[in-house]
Amino acid sequence: MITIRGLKKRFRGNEALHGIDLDIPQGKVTAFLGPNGAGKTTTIKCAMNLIERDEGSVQVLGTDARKLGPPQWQRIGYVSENQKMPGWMTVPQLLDYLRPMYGGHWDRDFERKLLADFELPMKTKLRSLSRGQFMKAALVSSLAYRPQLVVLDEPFSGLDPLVREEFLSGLLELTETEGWTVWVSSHDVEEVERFADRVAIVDSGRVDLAEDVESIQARFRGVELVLDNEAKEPRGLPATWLNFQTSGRNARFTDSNYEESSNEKIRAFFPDLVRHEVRPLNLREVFVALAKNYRSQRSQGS
Amino acid sequence: MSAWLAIFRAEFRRALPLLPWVALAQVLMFCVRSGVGPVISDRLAFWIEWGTWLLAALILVPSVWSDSPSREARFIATRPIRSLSFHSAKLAGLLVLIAFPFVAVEFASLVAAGMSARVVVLGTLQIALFGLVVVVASFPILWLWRGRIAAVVGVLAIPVTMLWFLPYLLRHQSRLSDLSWGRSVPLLYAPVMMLALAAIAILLGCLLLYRGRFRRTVVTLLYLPLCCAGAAFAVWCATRPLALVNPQPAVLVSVDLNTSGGDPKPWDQLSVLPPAPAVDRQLEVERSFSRLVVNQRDLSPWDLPMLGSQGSVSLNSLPLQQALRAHYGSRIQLPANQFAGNPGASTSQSFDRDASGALSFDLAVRETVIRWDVIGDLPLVAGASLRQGDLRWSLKGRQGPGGSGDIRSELTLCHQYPALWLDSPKAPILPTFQFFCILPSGRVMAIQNYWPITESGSRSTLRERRLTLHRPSIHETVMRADGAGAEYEPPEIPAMAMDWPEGSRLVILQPVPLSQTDYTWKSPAPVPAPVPPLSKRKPDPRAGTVMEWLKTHPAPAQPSSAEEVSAWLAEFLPRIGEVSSQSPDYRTLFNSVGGLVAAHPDQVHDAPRRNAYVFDPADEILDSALESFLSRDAVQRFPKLGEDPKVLRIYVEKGWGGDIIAHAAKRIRLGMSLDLAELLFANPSAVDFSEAEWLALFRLKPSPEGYRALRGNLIPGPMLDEETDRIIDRNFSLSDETYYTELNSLLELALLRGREEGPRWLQEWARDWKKRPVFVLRGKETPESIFTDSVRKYLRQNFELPPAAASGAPYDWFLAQDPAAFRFNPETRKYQIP
Repeated sequence: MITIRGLKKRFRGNEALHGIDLDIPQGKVTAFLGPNGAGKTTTIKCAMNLIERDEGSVQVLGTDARKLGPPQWQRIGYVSENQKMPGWMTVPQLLDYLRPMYGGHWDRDFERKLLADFELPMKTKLRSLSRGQFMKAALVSSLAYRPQLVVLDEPFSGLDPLVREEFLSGLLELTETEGWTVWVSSHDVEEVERFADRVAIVDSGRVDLAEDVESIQARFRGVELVLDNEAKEPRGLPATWLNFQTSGRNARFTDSNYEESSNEKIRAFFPDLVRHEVRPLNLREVFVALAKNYRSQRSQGS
Repeated sequence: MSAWLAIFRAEFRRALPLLPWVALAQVLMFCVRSGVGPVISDRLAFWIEWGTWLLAALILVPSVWSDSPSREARFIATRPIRSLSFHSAKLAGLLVLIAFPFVAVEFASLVAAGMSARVVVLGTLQIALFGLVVVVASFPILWLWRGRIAAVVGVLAIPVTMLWFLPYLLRHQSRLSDLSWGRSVPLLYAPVMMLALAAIAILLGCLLLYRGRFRRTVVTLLYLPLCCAGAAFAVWCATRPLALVNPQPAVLVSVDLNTSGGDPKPWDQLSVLPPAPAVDRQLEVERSFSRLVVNQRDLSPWDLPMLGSQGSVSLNSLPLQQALRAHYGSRIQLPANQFAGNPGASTSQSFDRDASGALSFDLAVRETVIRWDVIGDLPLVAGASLRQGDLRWSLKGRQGPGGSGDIRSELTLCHQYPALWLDSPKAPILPTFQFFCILPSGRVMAIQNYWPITESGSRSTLRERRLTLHRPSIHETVMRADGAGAEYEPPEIPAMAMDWPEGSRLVILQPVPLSQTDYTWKSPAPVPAPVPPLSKRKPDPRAGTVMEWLKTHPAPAQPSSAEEVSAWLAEFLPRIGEVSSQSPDYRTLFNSVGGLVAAHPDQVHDAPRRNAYVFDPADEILDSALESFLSRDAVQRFPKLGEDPKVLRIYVEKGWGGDIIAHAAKRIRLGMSLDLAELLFANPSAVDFSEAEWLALFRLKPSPEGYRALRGNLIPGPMLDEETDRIIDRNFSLSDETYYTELNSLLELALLRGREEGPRWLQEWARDWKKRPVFVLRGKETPESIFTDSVRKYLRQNFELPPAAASGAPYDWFLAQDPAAFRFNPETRKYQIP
């Protein structure tokens, strides 16, 4: 649905995106993860043609992002934490305002269902809604026409846990039943893990990882070693072993490409191995491991 | 419902809370403009008008701002609507919400005010155009703002930018003062509006050129020249020099240039008079500048001339009285009339002098011949009104209760008129109406009115000027030859009365332009500018110590150098304080300076110019010394002195006029020192004037001496006779309240010319001498003696008297004759009885 290649963007001389390569496959929920300032929102805005890219190509629904027009926007639902909506309107007025733009694509029954599910007040102006209600209203206005592609830029930020849960469960239910392609950016990894099929991790304007969640979970393992003697980091460790740390007779690292044969490699590098423990990692641990690894790589590089 | 309609409807929904207020404001606007409902004070009307515009802004700005494409967070950007549909729907909504109420109110006001169909259509179009420009222009303006800070900076910077631009665009700083709101200058609003847009656009360009997206930068770059071109065009339309009408070169003009002093730039009063027009004396002539270039700087007037506001537009004006008599016949009583004379075009400006302090002129004086017409009259009571076409006058206010002397009766005259800038090229001259009162007895009297007038409705087609009328107290008094004062205070109104007598009517006169001519003139050489008046200078702290100082510093003994004299004067003059011309000290000072004049007249003459601390007594001493001690060869030795009219006048008074003819001719060619015309007429052979120059000089300064000198000699007789007839017909009237001296010269000219009416005029002049106002009586003169002496002189010069009469009493003999019996003999150029 979205193909991004070599995307670069500069702001007043500072390069915010250093050549993003990313695919958002159809029918999957892709989480776009990264710390604050990593370039998530800039990438999405470039893809939605809200800001102009400097280099690279962005194809959205088979169209160059710069040429997105009404036919494409009828198939895209975009919700952003920064989005300004006409605050003087009530939710029904907002929907009245937007409905004619979508013609036959707008599903009144689905709109009613969404309104009922989200329990939005009908007579309150948008400017008077709470943050959660405002985001729900934005979501209703962006989903009622059953878009093929849903782009959510930090939809959970500023939401309290209860509202976040409601919002998330609603979204999960919809994505499952409708089979939409969803691209959601967030820095809240644990919540993304609950519904994301695929994860792209961006840091400092580069995509470090873009892979299905299952694959990541299958690939990444946490390894802890207990040695006979004091642990030392041997030379020539595989590049897939991240964040190798020692403490007394103990050593630990993250194997980013764990296989059955990995145990053989461990024994080969550590002949005095007493025992070792391999455990699967959740998405947050993978994210942290990768972030630490890149930080250390950057410090070594500098 | 289509998306277009949904957006259109949303604009209404957005403005819904404000709409009741908009409706209320518009109803109030309608009341103000149409005069329906109670009288609203100017201040309240002002706030209603601005409040209405503020409400319009409150609708416009949030609407355009909320979906500004310059902001990344725009909501509508990710929705399936084409930009053209979105903006056209928004624009349509805003036009209906903002422009339509103004247009509707304007239309209703014009219809309610009874305007003609043409005014209704043009006036409605004007406001529609204005609304369209405001709404359409606001779109790109607001879109291009990137953020609120830029907007605030812009809003603050716009007036500054405008103030900075205006002087350059309008080419002269003084015109800033002309840009007051509420003036009835056509096209005023278009340039101001366009200039504001240009200022905004230029500012936007600065703010946005280096930030923002490529497409937006392109839009800015396109929008910027578009606005500037529009502004430049509008300013050009409003400021272009008036097109010359029947341009005619003036060979000679009279230039009256005075300076009012002040630092660092003295303001100059310039008055330029071309030769007198050849028009009937029943018509008024007004002059204004249609081009004025001083030292290559174009100071052409921005305002169109106000017709009927120049000259002495008083009840004594002959053309005015002519109009009143033509309308009311013999049932009205008017005061004696006075010929208004020939006022020149005048202006007050700060002229930039060249390096030598001189001014070069390239100008055109527009001469407009006016006839006054009575529009009509209305009772002098509150509530009365008069209408003529699209013009309406009405009287408002209260009438005093009567009885108490300290309460003044006050009426406000409201003049409502349409201001059509769409139509302005067809009405280039703005009339100034004149108002008088006709009392029940038929006596016409002036009205004291208080200017400046107030004006309202600056953005409306319907403008209203208001003039407060006060009953006059005592009119000016003119002394007559018999010593009686002529007062125009009518007996019907006691001095302390308050109310207008019942049955009084207000009569309104309108100036009607009949013809226009532009006289063009270029000064042949730079004109020396006058020195600022000494009274404007500051007295020196040493003033008053001169007598002490003089004891130790006597005037340099002759021979002495110019430097010594200059240095001594520089020390001497500032020390002169208040000195009475009768005191011995004055004589001492006078003699001290006088001793220097013979050898160094140039130093004494230039002393005030060189020394900043010279004030009145010192100046008077220098003048007296120059007058008394100037030697005959001074101008020959110091030709620069020949440029000063004061020095030339001393030469004439001393009888040395023949020595300065060349200087006088040079100054007259520059339009200066026209009073030296007599000198040229006395020695015409010494002057190299062309025939056209002599004729022009005679037209500017007609005199018996000029006629004698020029006729058949430098100007062909028939040509000069024709010119003389014109001058006499326009200027001479025995029924005028013209002063003795002016009539005296014209009467003599008529006799010299051999006018058929000459003997009759002379008899009337001799018999009715008591009617003539006399300026000054000298020595043993009495009003009677100066008239009888003049008559005797004219009889001797212009009549062939019988021997008995010539040796006896010619005066009595002449008065006994039938004036029709006299015939003019072209051979002897005298009247005789055949």
